[in-house]
Amino acid sequence: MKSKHIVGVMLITVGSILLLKGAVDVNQGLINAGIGGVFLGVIVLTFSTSDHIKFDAFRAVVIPYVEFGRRIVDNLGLTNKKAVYIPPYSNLPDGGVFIPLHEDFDIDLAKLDKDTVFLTDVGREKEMGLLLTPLGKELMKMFESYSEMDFTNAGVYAVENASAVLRALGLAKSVTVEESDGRIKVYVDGVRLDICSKTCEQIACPICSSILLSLAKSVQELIVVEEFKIGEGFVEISARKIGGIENWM
Amino acid sequence: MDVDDAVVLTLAIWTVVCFIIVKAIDVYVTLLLIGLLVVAEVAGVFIKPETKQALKPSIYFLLFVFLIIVAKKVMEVLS
Repeated sequence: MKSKHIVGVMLITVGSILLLKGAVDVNQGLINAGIGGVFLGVIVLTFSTSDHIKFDAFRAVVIPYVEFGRRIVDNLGLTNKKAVYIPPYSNLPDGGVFIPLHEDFDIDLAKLDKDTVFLTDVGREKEMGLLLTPLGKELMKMFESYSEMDFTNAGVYAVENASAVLRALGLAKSVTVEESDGRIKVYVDGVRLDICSKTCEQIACPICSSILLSLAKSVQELIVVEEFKIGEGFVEISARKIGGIENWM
Repeated sequence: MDVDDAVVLTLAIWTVVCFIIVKAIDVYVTLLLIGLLVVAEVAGVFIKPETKQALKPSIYFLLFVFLIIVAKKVMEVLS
C-alpha cells in the first residue's frame, strides 16, 4: 500500500471520529475539523492514482531505444535526409514517420501499412525509404486525453495544449507554435531530456516526435522536418506542410 | 513537486484556512466546494483524465450538500 493511501485512510478515519464526537457533543469546531479531515482524505486518495517513475529511471529506459533507432538510420545511410510525419489515416491508424532515401522523394500512401518498415519493393527509387512508428504516439494520445480534444483538423495552435501535459509530466515547460506560409515553427522550452540533436531531423526523441505527429494530425497534412536548432533546455523545430493525405495517394 | 502534490497542498491549506476563519458548518462546506471547483477548473488541464473523473463524485456530493443548505435557507426565509 502506498504512503498516500495510508495518509488518505488515516485522514478519513480521524475525520470521521472527530465528526461523530462533534455531533455527540454539539461542538461546531469539532464537526468542521471532522468534515475537513474527511474531505482532505478523499482528495488525497483521489490523487494517489497517479504513479510517476523517477526521471533518472525514465531517462535510462528511453535513451537506449532512441539511440537504437538512430543507429539504424545511420547504418542505412539516411542521416542527411529529413523525416516526413504522416498523420493517422486508414492504413496507419497511429500515423507514421517516413525517412526517404532521396531528398527528391515521393510517397505513395496507398502502399504504406502498419507492417511495412523498409520500403524497397516499389517501382521508383524515390519512393524508397524507412517507415517507422513515431516514438511520440503515446504522448500524443496523452495530449489529446488531457485536453479532452481530438487533434484531427484542430489547427496547428491546438498543439500548444501539449504544454500542460509536458509540464505536468515534468518533461518540458512550454510549447509555442508559429505558422506562416505553410511553414511551422515550434519552440519547446525547458526540455529536461537532453537527447535532442541534429539526428532528431530523422528520428526525433519522444517529446519532439509527439509534437510533430500532433502537428501533422492537427492540420491533416504531411509534415516534413526542415531543421532542428538545439540550445540549453530549448529546441526550435522548423517544419513545412507538404499536402494532405489525398494528395499523396 | 508535481502538479498533483501542488493541488493536494493547495486544498489542504484552503481547508485549514477555512477551518480557522469560519465557524458555521454550512459556510465551511460551501467554501470547501468553492475551493474544489476552483482547483478543478484552474488545474484541470494538468490533471490526469482518470483523476478528473474520480474528483467528480466528491464535487457532486458537495453540490448536493450545498443544495440542501440553500433549500434550508430558503425555508428559513419563507417561514
